[in-house]
Amino acid sequence: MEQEKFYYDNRIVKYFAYATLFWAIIGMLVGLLVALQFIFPSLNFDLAYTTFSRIRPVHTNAVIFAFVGNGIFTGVYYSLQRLCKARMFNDRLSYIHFWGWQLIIVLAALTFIFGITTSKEYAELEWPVDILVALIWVIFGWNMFGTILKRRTRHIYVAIWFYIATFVTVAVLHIVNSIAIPVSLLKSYPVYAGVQDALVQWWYGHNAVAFFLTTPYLGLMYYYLPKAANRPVYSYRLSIIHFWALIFLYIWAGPHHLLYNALPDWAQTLGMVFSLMLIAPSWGGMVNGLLTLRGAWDKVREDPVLKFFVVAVTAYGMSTLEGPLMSIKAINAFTHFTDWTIAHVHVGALGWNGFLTFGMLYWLIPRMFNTQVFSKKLANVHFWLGTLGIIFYAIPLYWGAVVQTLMWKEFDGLGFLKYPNFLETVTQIIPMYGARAIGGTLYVTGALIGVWNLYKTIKAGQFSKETEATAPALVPVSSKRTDGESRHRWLERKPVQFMIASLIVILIGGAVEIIPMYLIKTNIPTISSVKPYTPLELEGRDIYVREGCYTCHSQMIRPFRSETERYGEYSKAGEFVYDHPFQWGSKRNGPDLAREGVKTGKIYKPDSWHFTHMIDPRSVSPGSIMPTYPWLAENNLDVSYTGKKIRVMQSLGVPYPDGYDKQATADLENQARQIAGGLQASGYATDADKEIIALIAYLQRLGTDISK
Amino acid sequence: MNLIKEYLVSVNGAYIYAIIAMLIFLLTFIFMIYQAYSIKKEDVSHYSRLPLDEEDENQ
Repeated sequence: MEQEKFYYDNRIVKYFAYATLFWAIIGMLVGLLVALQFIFPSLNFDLAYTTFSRIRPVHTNAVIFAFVGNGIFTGVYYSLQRLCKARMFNDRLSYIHFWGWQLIIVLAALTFIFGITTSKEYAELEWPVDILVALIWVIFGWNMFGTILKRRTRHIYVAIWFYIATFVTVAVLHIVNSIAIPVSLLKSYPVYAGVQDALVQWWYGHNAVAFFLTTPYLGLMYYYLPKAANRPVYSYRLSIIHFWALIFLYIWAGPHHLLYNALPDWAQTLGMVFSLMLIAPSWGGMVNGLLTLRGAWDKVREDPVLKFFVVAVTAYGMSTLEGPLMSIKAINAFTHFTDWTIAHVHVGALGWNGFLTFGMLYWLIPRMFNTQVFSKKLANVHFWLGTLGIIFYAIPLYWGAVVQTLMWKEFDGLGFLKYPNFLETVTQIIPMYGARAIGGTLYVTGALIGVWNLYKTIKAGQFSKETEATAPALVPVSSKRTDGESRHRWLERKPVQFMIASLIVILIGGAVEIIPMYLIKTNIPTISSVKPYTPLELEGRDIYVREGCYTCHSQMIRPFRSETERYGEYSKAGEFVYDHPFQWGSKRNGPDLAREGVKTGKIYKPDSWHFTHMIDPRSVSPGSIMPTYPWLAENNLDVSYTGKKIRVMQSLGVPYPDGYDKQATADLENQARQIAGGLQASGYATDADKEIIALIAYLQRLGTDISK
Repeated sequence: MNLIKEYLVSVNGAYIYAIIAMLIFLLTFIFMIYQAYSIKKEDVSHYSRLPLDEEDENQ
């Protein structure tokens, strides 16, 4: 059969590999700064741009979409060409994809530090960048499918199934979760509110973990682990079963982020049950990865690449056991809102994603540069620093989480909360935050050594821009099943049908969870006393979103005695019907604020307290780790969009009276004058047009609807 | 759409969806096991070696 000569494009792989290393260091250093701010609040530098609540999303997005994202593309662009025996479909698309993705990362970092955010975790980008993400993602998919379609191999290897599922699912998640109505170029409100917004967001958020941090990396595992071990995958049949089971089940698990929240019980139960079932396919992948090393374990002692892979796959196994266990409602009651979640995600991110990426780069870069890795010894040092870093990162946070959650729930002999002051439960675990920062430092040090080692490898080698390969052209066969060909075998040579099948599988779970939430009225019982926010409260809420208050404060009182005693009446679904977006939060570094404004409530504070607290939290709460927000008392409130905001809210079904947009600014000014007047009367120097007045108005509104 | 909406509104609780979903999953799962084992052994062996059968490596 006539052989065709062609060339693999290594240059695009090199570009993505460099970007992976660059963003790894940036993302991790920002993470380290964030970790240090827990111990030294002065490291917020009293600057809006470096405040924890603004740079925490920079860290999470940089690690997920910049480091891991570029890692995915590095691995995919190298392996896809070789598995398809074809050059990438179109070089121009490859480079548009590369530069477009880097542009998105830079825009993300800039918008977040400037407070331009939707506040939806891992989906904080505002609408123009969201559109750019969708376009660049389609270009990636177009290039990938073009390559698969022009392949010279009949069969599509399992790694590519995971790439296809990743592409199609991320597209669906991103589009559905990002639907919003713009107010201006840099501000929008999501079309969903309250419970529905929370459900859609965590359907997205959980599946960002599933289809950005897991499925593409399983694809990479199925390619690079057999390559590095020089062993075929342990069980191809197991890969078929665990692939379909994994993508089917993962999509259902989102509600486990909202257990004991104001979500209908049926949705919580679905989230819990499907999360538990996820152990099976997840461990199917782990077992398949580890057993691929059968007969090659002696190599693990010698080869740093395999060491990284073994710890990566083990970390995958550990976190995919831990995740389902945390989804059991009784366990979640203890772990939710604590640092247990942070430890859990870091075992996944540092262990599974980080180590698989570094292992892959230690394997890839010497091959593309026609040399050996510069120093095996340094690679081993990197490995051990990283491994110890993960352990020192996670264990203190697990410890701190247990201590804090027990303190939250402890009652004294008379039936009162033993630690009624939330701050006590924070200061108690500060040493654990210190130990966590040491763990993080170890990991970053290892990563820096890794980058140096790879830099020296690159310097010592000679880069092959292209790799020549030959293969016969693919002989067309019937598009229908041939004699004796099973359905799955047929599917494995039909990429379009494969994509459609994946799409159907992932849509089932999403549809069953989300559609009833919209259509069954009893899911969100209405509360007649719940009214839309006043214009000033709405503006204050937007400042709350801008400053990222949700990164530390929840607005969700769970129906536990320990919570109702501390915060007041538990949260009801009907209270959030005008919340575009919801602000329930996922972590309590500070107390819950759902009933902050209830004057007869447990945690009510007067306007003057909020005013002082925002400017200098430690002056009223000694030992507090909250950043200072002095600019709120200096900046004038921008009311140029207030009318437009009211109109957008009306279009989303918020029942402001017709024509209220014209009256909104006057009402806003009236309310602001009242609050500022009260403060001035108490001796505080402020004006009605300052941002802090709007924020105080919002905080004093929280939770008051049902206590009128 | 209205018909679906009316039907869903009248459902007391939505547990039926969980049961239907579970059944769909079990059937799909059993079907996939059947499919996986209906591929011939020699084909499985060939497919699992695909990443190793490249002839393009520089090393």
